[in-house]
Amino acid sequence: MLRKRPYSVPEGYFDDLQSRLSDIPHMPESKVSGWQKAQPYLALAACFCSALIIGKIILGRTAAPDASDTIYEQLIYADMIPHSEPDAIFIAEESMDTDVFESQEDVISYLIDTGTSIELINYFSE
Amino acid sequence: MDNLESIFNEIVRDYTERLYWHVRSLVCSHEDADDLLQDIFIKIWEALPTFRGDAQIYTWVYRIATNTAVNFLHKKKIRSALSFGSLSGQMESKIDQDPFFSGDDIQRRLSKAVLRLPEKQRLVFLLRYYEDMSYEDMSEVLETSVGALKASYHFACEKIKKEIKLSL
Repeated sequence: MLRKRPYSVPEGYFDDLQSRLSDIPHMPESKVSGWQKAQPYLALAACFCSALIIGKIILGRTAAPDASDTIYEQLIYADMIPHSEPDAIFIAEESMDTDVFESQEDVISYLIDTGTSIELINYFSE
Repeated sequence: MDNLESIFNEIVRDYTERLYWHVRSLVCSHEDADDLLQDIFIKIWEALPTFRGDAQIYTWVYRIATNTAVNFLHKKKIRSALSFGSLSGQMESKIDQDPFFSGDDIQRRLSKAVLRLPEKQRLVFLLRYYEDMSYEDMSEVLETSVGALKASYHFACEKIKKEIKLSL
């Protein structure tokens, strides 16, 4: 049995709606050409390309040479990695990936999508 | 063509009201549901020649209706984010101001709690609770596994219970 929704409609609305919908096959087809469909995407691509070109020109004129460009500078930065724990740099990189879930809600959605049982999800959410 | 038209008219006769209520629960407003129904049936008419008999017409029309309504809500969400508002907040105030809302206080609280659910759980809850749709049919409409749908419905119910208790 269907549950009643807490909404109503104007008097005679469904008769009017059905007659409007039945006219759809007789409506003139609006022909949209391929060019018209592609226009917004082309405009977006053009904006993106112009932003890239302008950004490159501005950066090319204003940016100072990169400090790490010289071999000497690169050697200084290389010394910042501790000799005792050369893997520390990888640990730091890995730890950046721990915040993939923004909230507990996201974790629950992920668990649902991966087919985890309700009991386990309940255990987690408690 | 005449054959297609008679099938289309049959779909209009059998599904207009059901799809209207489904879309109305998703978008809340009568005006939006009315506009969307027009779009949905235009899509159904355009896609009818490509409809393959291996799917049920029931789940096929529900899938078109659900996708159209969800796309509409996504666009609305982007628009409200651009104006620094929240879509569920806007929709909750729509429920308060809607002259066609005919429910009592507890139904108002239920409708608002449903609006606060994540999109997938909301869809599952509406299809199961109001439409009484089977999980198998729902799995075709939402293209999700039955297990995930059951879990979503369970969590949706839990959250709604909690929300209603808090609001009392």
